[in-house]
Amino acid sequence: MKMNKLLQVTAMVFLMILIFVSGARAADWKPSKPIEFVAPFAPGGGSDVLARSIASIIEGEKLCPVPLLVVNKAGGSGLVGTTAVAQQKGDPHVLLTYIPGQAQAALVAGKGAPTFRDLTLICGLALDEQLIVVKADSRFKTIQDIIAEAKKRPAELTVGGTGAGQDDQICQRVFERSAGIRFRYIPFKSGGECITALLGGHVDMIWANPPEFVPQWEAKMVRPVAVAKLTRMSEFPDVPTLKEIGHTVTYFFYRGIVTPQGIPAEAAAFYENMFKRLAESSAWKEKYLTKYMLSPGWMGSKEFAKVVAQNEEESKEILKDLGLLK
Amino acid sequence: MELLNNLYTGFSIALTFNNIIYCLVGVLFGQIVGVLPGIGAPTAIALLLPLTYSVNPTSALIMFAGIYYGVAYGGTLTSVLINVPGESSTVMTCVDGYQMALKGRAGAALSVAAIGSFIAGTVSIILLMAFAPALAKFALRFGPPEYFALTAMAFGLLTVFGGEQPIKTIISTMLGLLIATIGLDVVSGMPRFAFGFPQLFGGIDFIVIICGMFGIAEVFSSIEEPEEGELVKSKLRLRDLFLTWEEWIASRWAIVRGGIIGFLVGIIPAGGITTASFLAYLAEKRASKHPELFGHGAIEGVAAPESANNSASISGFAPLLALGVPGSPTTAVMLAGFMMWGIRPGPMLFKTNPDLVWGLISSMYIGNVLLLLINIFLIPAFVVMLRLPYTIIMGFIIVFASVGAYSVNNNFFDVWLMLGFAVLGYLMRKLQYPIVPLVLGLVLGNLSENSLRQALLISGGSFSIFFTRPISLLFVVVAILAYLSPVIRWALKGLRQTKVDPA
Repeated sequence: MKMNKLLQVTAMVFLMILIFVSGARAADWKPSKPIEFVAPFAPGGGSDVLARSIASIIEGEKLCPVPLLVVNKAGGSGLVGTTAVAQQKGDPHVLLTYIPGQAQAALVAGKGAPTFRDLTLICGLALDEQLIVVKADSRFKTIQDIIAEAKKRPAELTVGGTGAGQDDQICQRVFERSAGIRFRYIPFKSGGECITALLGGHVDMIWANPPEFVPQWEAKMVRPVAVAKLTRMSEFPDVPTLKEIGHTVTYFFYRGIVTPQGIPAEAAAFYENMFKRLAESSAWKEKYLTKYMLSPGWMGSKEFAKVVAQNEEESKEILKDLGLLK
Repeated sequence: MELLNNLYTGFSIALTFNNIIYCLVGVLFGQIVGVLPGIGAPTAIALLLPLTYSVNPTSALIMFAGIYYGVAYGGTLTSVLINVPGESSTVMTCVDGYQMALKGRAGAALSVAAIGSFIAGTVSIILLMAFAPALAKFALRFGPPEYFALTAMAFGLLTVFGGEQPIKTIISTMLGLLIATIGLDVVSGMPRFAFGFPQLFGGIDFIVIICGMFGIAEVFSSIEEPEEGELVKSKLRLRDLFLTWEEWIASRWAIVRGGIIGFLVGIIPAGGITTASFLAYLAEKRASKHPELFGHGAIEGVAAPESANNSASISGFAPLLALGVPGSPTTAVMLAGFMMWGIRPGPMLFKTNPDLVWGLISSMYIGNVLLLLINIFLIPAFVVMLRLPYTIIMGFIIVFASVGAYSVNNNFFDVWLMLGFAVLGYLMRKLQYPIVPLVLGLVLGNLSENSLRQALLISGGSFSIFFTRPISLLFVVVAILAYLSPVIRWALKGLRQTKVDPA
């Protein structure tokens, strides 16, 4: 009993000190030491590229008084890195890249996995695109060919993707339901393995982001047949959206930034402002968006929180449909 | 003729002063990164990538390639000297290399590794130059069924360890496979054997296990038997540092076989240099006239995997250059580099940027010569280190292993895991369980399981997919023969005896 009291008192005192300290610094928060910038995926992947591009552009444009040090904490569909950041509660010198896959993986993994509620959402920076890609010599000329064939042979056409219960499988389920068809989903570990399986003719089609297939597309080895977006992409003006052919399959593949929970509100505001200036810079457009073919997608913290929550809600329903969630 | 022309273009680029310096920086850096267990080539290159923004892409790529193949040379050092593999691709070198060091032949082990790597690497470059596009296209025929059949064959080769106690080999392999299943399942996304620890969602990294089972377990054993832990005692003569003629004769075919296996495995996307070194070791033991010496300091056991890992790291460029697909984590980072420099990798590269392709390939010759010289000249310096009292070397082992385990994911949890595996490794040694099968289970477990499930998803559940494709069928047949080989040998023996008896 006594111990309990003592603990409570200590906790209260500690909390008060915390509030006092953060209050004292409130007026004008600035990072006081180098910031650890966690990319929860392996070097070379989309999240790693984002983190490293941000770090170098922020340095070049002098947007932050201290350097951002990119650290890869890969594994478990991004959950290892996400967990590491979520556990550093109250530390304002940690940033993490965030994509829908991390939220979805947490849903499927269940107990112990950190959801977006365990983090402070700072902002959304860009939107990635999901396309359906076939081999250049595929018998499917258009997406309509694929739908017709899938209707004839239900659940026989194979589609490669990266990671079950995530973006592309969710996207695919929405498409399947709308078109009244079924595919076989074949999960691979990375975009590289996926395109390799397509080139080898081991799967009929794949889901891919532009950087994953553009080199082979330029060499006329593969071609995209549809994009899961509301409007066509300027890089592929001839590739129809799934919406055009009557299936409202749009997918919001955001790429954003989060920090641990419990950081001072001023620190959150500092980062939001810093990333806003980043997103408005011309270097951002040239060295990131254009180079890796992403769409601009600035979202402030409030809007980003709404999008993340909505995305999780929609994913939940589809994951249940896929039998990955109870 | 065209080839010579290309080579001329290549060397005229690679031999400029600037590029030689970049190559030298790359291989030195690779050598250092190779020595540090937790940091691999992908991390090192990712760190340097932003610095190369304004550098000529060819020079940057020459440097990165230098890191990539330099790493395999560096990892050998710690494998041989302190039984902690600096890289996953040098694990097999620990097995016989460290035993050689205990017998005072550390210098020979390091020389044969450097010479073998150089020879196999150089031959690999020539083959890469001549056949890259064709081979890369052929390698595409490897899909999930072929990968599964390949791993099944590799496990079959483990029967060479079966000698006296096959049941222990089987248990050790199963343990490796079991550990490999920890983490999120690729097919369903659900955690397996994570027991609610989110830190385990990513599985347990290979390096963490190896640092514990080899390095720290070694320290435990030597605490128990202090005299046995003594390394090279008393005098060290200069000629002890290099290969003897007998050792060279013993290892030359191992270098050739290792180099060929390495080249072939490296060219397959997802083949990987670690797998290459394993297969080379197992095949060498199979081919050897005295397999019982393996594990007790057989020089072929160092020559084969070392030649294989270097030759695989070079042939691994074929998928990247010819098709633009990454065959390994390192080439995946280089692919990101291409994007950053505004160059599109892939099939067009040979036409659009011949300077880059041929400059890179030519630089590999130079890099390998540099590495050979660096390593041969530094061997005495490293071997002298072994004259330190073992108590001090133990300290080094603990520091290296702990830092290595930590830096894999910058997570302290991994250091605890490593200590746990050290205890497991110690117990296995005590009870005379072979450790190599466990390590092979770890390396191939994920590839084997994922490709089995992918293949069955593609075929809709039918196993015929493994028998109707020629490459897969070939591997399956070899695998079955390998699994049955102890039985066949036993049956033959019995037959001979019954024939002899009546007479």
